[in-house]
Amino acid sequence: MPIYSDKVMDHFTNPRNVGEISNPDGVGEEGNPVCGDMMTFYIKVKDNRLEDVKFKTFGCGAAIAVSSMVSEMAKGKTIDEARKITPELVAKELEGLPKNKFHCSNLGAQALNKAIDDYLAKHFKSV
Amino acid sequence: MPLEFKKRTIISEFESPFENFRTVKVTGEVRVCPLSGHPTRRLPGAASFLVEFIEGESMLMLMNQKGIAASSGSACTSRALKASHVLTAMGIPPEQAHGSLLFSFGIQNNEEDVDHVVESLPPIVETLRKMSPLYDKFMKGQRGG
Repeated sequence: MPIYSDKVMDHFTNPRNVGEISNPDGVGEEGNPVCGDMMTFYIKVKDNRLEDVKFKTFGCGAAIAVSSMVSEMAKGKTIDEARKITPELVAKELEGLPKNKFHCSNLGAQALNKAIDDYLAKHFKSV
Repeated sequence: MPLEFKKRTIISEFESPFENFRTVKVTGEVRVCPLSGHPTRRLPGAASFLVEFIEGESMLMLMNQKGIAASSGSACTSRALKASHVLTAMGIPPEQAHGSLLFSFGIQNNEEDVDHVVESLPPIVETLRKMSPLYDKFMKGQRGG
């Protein structure tokens, strides 16, 4: 098993914001079970702000920790601020990820962005 | 639907000199957690399961916190990120192979160790399945939702 930082272990052992939002404003799915990692993010948006963020993840310890960290970083942020959550920032907040696990932080940021895309597509469609 | 894990010795099925060793017999829904090897014609003390909808490394990390050392994949690929080529060559889909879990009981192990594994595994599986989108989809499919 890879050696993870204390922060990764903390988020893996006690993941924040696990679950599903009923009637979410946006849903984003990234990854593929064939590759071993898959994340689904749910967002609730109020006044252009991510009022709630939840996730479900199939994957390794890093994938679960990344999902937890992304949800924590995104919660309460405006859409524009949440868009600025990059894989590098996620990895930095987690005090680093093993090189071969960095793709997990890509997945987390991408899944969140897809949820935002989904929200915007629905929002602008209905406006 | 939680898995039902029953602890029963299957040592009698092995013609093995290692009488003190047992493997874990896991019963439950076959689709959910089948044994990946032959039920009897395999190494005594070794058992490999396919725990569907969750991934091997996360199981290993949580078991490690309980003092249990197991492996995922096949013995020769346990460090690889890819699904075990041995399991996929057996016709097991990669997404299922990612949830493989391999126990090897050795001369240092005793009955209490096996009991500890059997007691520790179900809550770990349940915890990880609660956060698995694959299990979520499976359960919704079961309910017809």
